[in-house]
Amino acid sequence: MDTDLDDAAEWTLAVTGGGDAFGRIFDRHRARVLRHSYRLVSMASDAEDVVAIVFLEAWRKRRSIHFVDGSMLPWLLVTATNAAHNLARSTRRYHRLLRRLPPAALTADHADDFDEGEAQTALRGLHLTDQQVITLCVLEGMSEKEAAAILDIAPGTVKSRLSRAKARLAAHLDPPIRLIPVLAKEAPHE
Amino acid sequence: MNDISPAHDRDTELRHLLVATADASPYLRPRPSRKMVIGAIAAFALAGALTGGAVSAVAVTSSAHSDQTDNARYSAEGVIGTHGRLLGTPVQYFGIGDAVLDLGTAPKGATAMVVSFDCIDRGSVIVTIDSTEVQSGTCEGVVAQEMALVGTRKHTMRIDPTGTNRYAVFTSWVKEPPLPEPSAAQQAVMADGKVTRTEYLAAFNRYAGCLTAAGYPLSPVPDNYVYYPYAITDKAVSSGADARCYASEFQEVDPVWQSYVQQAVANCLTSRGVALRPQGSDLVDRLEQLLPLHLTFDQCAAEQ
Repeated sequence: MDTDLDDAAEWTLAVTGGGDAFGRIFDRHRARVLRHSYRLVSMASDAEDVVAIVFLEAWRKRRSIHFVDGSMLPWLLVTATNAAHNLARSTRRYHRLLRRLPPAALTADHADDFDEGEAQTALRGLHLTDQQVITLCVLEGMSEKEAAAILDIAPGTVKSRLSRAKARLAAHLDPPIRLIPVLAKEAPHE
Repeated sequence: MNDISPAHDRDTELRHLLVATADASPYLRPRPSRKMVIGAIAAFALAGALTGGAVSAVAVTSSAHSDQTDNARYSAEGVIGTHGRLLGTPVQYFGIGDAVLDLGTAPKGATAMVVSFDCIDRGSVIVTIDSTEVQSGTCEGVVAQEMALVGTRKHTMRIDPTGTNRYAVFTSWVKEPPLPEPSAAQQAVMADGKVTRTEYLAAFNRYAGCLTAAGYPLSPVPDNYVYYPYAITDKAVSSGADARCYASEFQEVDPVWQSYVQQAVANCLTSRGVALRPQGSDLVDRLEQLLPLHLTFDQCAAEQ
C-alpha cells in the first residue's frame, strides 16, 4: 500500500521503527534501481545483488541520506552506481545477508529488455566518477545543482566532470553516435 | 521503457528483511559519522547475557550473531595495514551485559592484536584487556585499535557495561611485517626537503618498477601529467606489494610533490584574484581552474 508521503517523510518513519515505511520505499524504487543496475553490470544476478546492497546500504547510512525534493531515488541510484563499480567489495560486506535471500530469478530476457546498445556498454567502461555524473545528469535528467547535492561536490565540479564524462563516453562509442539526450532541467548556475 | 519482471521470491524476502531491520530499530540513535551494523534480523541476544549475568566464556563464535559482529570485523580490518594479515581464529562476540572473553595466547608470527568494539546501542561501558583499559565511558559506534599484545601469556577481555546496551566484539591476532625504510634514492630526493617534477616522476617510475618486479605491473600512464593518476590492482594491495613498494620508493616523495602542486596553483590563482574552489576539491579540480586563465602549471611553478 502506497501513501501520500514523500520519501523523506517515509524515511523518517522508517528510522523511527516503522518497518513498513522502509517496505514502501523499496516498493517505489526497486524497479528503477534494478533497471539502472542492469546498465552497469553484465549479469542479471549481479543486478539483483546490487539492488539488495543498495537498500541495505540505505539502512546502514540512514542518517546521512540526501533527498532531492523529498525523493530518495537519486541517492539510491548513486549508491547503485558505486556498488556496481566494485561489486565484489560491496557483496563482501553483505554476503551473509545476501546468502539468505533466494537466488535471483532466471531472467535471461532482461538482457534484451535493458540492452541499450553501445551506449550502455560504453557507460560500463567509464570511471566511477564519470558514471555518477552521467547517471544523474544524463540518464536521470537532474540539474547540475541537484547532482551536486547528491555527490556532495560543487555544481561547477559537476559541470566540468559532466563535460569530461561526455567526452569520454563519446570516445568509447565507435562510430561516434549522438549522446543520450540531456533531459536536465537547468538550474540557475551558481 | 520496459517494465521490470514482477516481484519474485527474492524481492519478497528482501522486502521482509528490510522491514524487519527497521522494525528492530525502535529509534534513531544519534551516531554521526559512525559505522552501524545492519544486523537486527537474526534473533539475537545471548541467553546468559539477557539474564544480566556475567558470561564467563571462552571466545564465543556463533554464526547466528555474525551479522552483529561484521561491522566490528570490518573496522578491525581497516585498522591494520594493507600488508598485514589476520592470524588464527578471531574471537567474535555479540552480547548484552557483563562478559569475560578468553582471547587466548598469541600464535607464532603474531606481531599485534587488533581489537574492535561496537556499541550497537548507545551506552556506557568499560572494556579492559588484561589490565589495560581499551574503552571507558560513553560508547556509541565502533572503535578499532591495534595493540601490542604478544608473548606467551594468556589474554582476557572484560566487558562491563552499565546497562543493557548491545555490543559486538571482534579481536584477532595480526601478522604485520615491518615496512621497508625509504630506499637510498628516495632518501636522496628528500635530503633537501623539496621535490622537483623530475624527482617526482623518477620516484614514481621506481615505485612502478618495484610493483612490476613483484608481479603487479601498473597500466601504462601518460607522461605529460603534472602528477601521475594511477590505479593498482586489488591483488597488488592485498599481497602487500603496494605497501612495501610505496614505502620504499614513493611514500615521502608523493605527498610533498602533491602538496607543492596544490600550493603553487593556489598561489597562482589567488594572486590573480581567483577564488579557490571549496573545500573538498581535489587536485584535478584545482588544476582545472587554470584553464580559463590560459595558464599552465609550469607557468605557476615558475612564479614560486
